[in-house]
Amino acid sequence: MRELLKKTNADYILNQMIFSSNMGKKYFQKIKKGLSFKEVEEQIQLTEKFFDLFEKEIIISIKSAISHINDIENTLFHINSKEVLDEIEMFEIKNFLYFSMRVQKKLNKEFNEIYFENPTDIFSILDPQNNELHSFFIYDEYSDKLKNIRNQKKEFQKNNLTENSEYIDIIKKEKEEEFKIKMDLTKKLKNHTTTLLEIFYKIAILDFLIAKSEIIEKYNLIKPILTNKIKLEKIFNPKVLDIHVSNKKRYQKIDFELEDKPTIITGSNMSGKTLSTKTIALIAVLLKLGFYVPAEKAELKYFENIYYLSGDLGANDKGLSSYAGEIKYINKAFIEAKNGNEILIILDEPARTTNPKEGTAIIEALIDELYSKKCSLLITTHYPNIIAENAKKMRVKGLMREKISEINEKNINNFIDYSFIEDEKANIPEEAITIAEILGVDEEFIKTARKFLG
Amino acid sequence: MNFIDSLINFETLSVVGLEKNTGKTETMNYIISHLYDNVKLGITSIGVDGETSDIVTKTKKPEITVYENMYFATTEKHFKLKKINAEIFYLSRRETPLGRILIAKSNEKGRILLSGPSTSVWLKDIMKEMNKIDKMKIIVDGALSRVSSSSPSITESVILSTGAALSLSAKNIIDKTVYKIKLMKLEEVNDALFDDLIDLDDGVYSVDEKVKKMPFKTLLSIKNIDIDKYGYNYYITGVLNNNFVKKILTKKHMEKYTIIVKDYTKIFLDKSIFEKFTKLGGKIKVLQKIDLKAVTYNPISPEGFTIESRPIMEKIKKKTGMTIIDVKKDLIL
Repeated sequence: MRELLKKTNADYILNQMIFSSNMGKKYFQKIKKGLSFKEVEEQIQLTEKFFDLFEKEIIISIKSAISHINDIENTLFHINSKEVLDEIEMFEIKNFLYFSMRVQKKLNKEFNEIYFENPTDIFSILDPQNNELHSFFIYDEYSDKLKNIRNQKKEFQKNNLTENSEYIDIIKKEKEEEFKIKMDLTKKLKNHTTTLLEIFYKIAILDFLIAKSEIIEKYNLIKPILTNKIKLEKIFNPKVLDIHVSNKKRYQKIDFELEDKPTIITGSNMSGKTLSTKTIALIAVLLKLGFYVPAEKAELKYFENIYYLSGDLGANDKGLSSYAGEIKYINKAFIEAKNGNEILIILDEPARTTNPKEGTAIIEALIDELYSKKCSLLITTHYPNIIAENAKKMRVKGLMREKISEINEKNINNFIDYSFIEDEKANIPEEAITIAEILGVDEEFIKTARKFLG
Repeated sequence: MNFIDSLINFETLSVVGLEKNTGKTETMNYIISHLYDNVKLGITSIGVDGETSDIVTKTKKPEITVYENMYFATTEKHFKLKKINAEIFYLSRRETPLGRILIAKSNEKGRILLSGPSTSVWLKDIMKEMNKIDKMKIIVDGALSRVSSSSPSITESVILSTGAALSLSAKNIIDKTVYKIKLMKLEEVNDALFDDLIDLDDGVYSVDEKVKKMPFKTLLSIKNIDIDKYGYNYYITGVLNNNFVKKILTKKHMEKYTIIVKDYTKIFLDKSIFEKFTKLGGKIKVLQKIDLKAVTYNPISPEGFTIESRPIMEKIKKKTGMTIIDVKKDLIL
């Protein structure tokens, strides 16, 4: 999954999430491994509920309260196995409760996934002075004996008798009494471990939801509708969108539909095939995390696994040649598909480094073997002459040829239509040389190339 | 105005030692005992083990005396060793090798072991957290004076502790101490120049008329460069070393040259080179000057030698005009 998050640019938006505590971050680390269908449903519902029931005005104060809470999961886990907690652990618990109570005040009771009752009874164990502060020490109020010992101690201090052996005895007695009190407090706290852990996890979820909602709003992500197909309207890649916006360049959002049968997409250079398929993969990956997605409308299917062969696959980390790495990756996807798993396979120009004849054969074979399986298959290619009877064939509209005279190196991006159209013949538009010309490649060179093209 | 009144006027103060074992802890205890009655005090330390010297010389790790209602920030490990009652207010998320940093308020007088955050940036954070709990004046048990933790960008005031640990020779002690005081008292640049220089990226700059970055990053690569074509006024964001000043010393008319550094902790010059340059009229200035409140003197070396304090203190006082205190005898000159 980690590799997928990187390859699809999912990391770009996910890394922008700002958590107020380590708890929310840890919760998200688990989600990042990928969710089951049921968990995805739950996450989407939870997010929707958050937007419905959470007023924006309270978010700042909740974030501030959460930011004071340390990750005390370990402390809470170990309460039961410990005979006695030390002062620092008790402070952690008190501090946690204090700021949880500040969060609690703001919670909507209807939001039962994160709502919890005010833990005042637990808090009062650690607040015998009833002064409602987050700080802690072993208070005199815990026992009369402790109070007496401390008064004696003060007398010695006042009279500068702290080197006296009696004074050392008093300190010893104080420590013994403190230990008894700590044991008693630990016993009392043990009765509440379930509640403490429940509050802890609810705050972790809340922290995560706040961070998530901020990203959703920043990029106008949309709630995906879970169905059994992929039908997307106006999808976009947030990373590329950000770059285009900062460069004041046009960004064309496109529609896409993936049916049961394999789909082949063709298109000339610079037609955005790589970006479009990457964005489709991104959307599938985000769904797998129960996230909202970058589109204006998204009907999506849940896949058990996602395979994405990225178009900008660089040198791979296993030290294999690029072809070897690629074919092994495809094989992994192939075997899982053959076994009947519901997976999504997106291959951006597979076998591109090999010769077109064999490359075409590899693509044909994939489609022939997998069209009847449960998997969804999307392939982009440059290779002409693909027959692939069992595949739906589409292409990127590409260069606006009617406006060719206006196009130059700087504005070319504005004269490419990135949308997909169905094209049963899977024609590869022969635009490479035209584009080279627009990009200002040497005239003689272009002329000769055209001569060879015939 | 008596000494304590003049001392009280600070927000953050670090106590730095000119050498190991010059009596930093005694100085801390001395200042705290004189101030705690008059102001709300907080103390902390820089470094995991503020007193590595104690490991070296195997002397006991010194304890600092705190008083009722005083705040202190120390590490978990040292907090757990305390014998006093203290109310915990804050626990850091980050950890030092001795555990997280706690901020607590003492409920009674007693001794504690002081340790603290391991970086100066973190130290600043901890001081901020302390002030969130209560407005207080903070004293930092600093490291050696060369280390950037005692830079004016961390604490605006400083007390320098010196003593017999420096040398067996009284003259040496005086020379080293006076030199350090001179560095701490170097003149600040004017406000306009400060504004021009404070936010510059790391590098070496010529600041004759316009501020111009010189084509080398550090002074290590200066050997083969003719600096004359860059003018006579330089600003160095990093450390100022002997080579650069030696290079200038090969020129004539020292009085034309001014070298600006961030603060005194950036100066790594041998005393002889510093003296030669400044005596010939060369100037060294700082962007930020630290407010040196006083110098303390510890007459006992860790090996047990005692060097009579009064004559030494008098000479230092005469040469620098600084208030100087023998914290053992409570003698203030």
